[in-house]
Amino acid sequence: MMMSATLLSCSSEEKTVQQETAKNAEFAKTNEMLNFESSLKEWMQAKRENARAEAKAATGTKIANDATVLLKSIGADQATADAKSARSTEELVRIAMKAYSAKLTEMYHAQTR
Amino acid sequence: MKALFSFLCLLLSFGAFSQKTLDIYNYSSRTVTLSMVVTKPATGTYPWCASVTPSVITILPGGQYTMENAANIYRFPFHSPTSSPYLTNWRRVTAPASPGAPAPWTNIASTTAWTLGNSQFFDYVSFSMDSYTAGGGNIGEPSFWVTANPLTNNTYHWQADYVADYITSTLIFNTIVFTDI
Repeated sequence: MMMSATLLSCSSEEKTVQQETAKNAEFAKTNEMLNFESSLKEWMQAKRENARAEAKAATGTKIANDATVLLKSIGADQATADAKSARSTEELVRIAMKAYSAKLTEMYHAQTR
Repeated sequence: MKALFSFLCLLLSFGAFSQKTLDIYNYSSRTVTLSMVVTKPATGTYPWCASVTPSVITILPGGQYTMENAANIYRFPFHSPTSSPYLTNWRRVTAPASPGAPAPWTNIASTTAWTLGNSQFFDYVSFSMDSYTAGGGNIGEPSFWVTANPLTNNTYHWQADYVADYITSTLIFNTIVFTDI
């Protein structure tokens, strides 16, 4: 079955909608969400490749920033508070990943009701 | 002394996360179905273990699946009480097959497998996307069974990423993420 993906941008709300022709979830992911996913994958790639210290530091800084922005954007107050006391980038990212999953799950169930 | 202090601080910084853990996140728009979680020894091939019951773990779009057990941070969390669904049984393979005979294995309960978990580490998971209508594969540690990391599918526009954070050689956070591309 061929799937088609269409990206739409709404300038006023800056949301990106990914649509599939098959019966899948239709997440209206925000730029904050997409930035977090992109940074997360780059950070994981740098770790896998045992990148140079500078590259690791750059991806680490980026993911930490995007994780913090994401948490604020999705209104994850407790996670945002927890993130402030995170003692490492890894801990911060794990907090953000869990909170992001909770948000997406909420969005998924809202659209499947 | 300073190095030791720094190391201890690093360990403490992970708090409740200081253990062998497997976190799987589905940020994609598809349903991920895990058909098998596989572990391996630190060196060599045997014994290795594969999840048996339940036969599938479904992770809906946005969902996550975590295996962890803080009661012993050095054991692979075969017995993961907070996981839903809970993996109740594992196949433990102890040697290769010999001519005319299959590989010797036993079906063991997760609580039993957990007692043997110090020597076991995450290897890979087998998965499908939307019940194989959108492909699937294996993702995890580099091996004969894991063809790529990240594993990308450009026909159905998804990607699976895996990374292992080695806090020490025996304290490892394993993370898998599924996303749309």
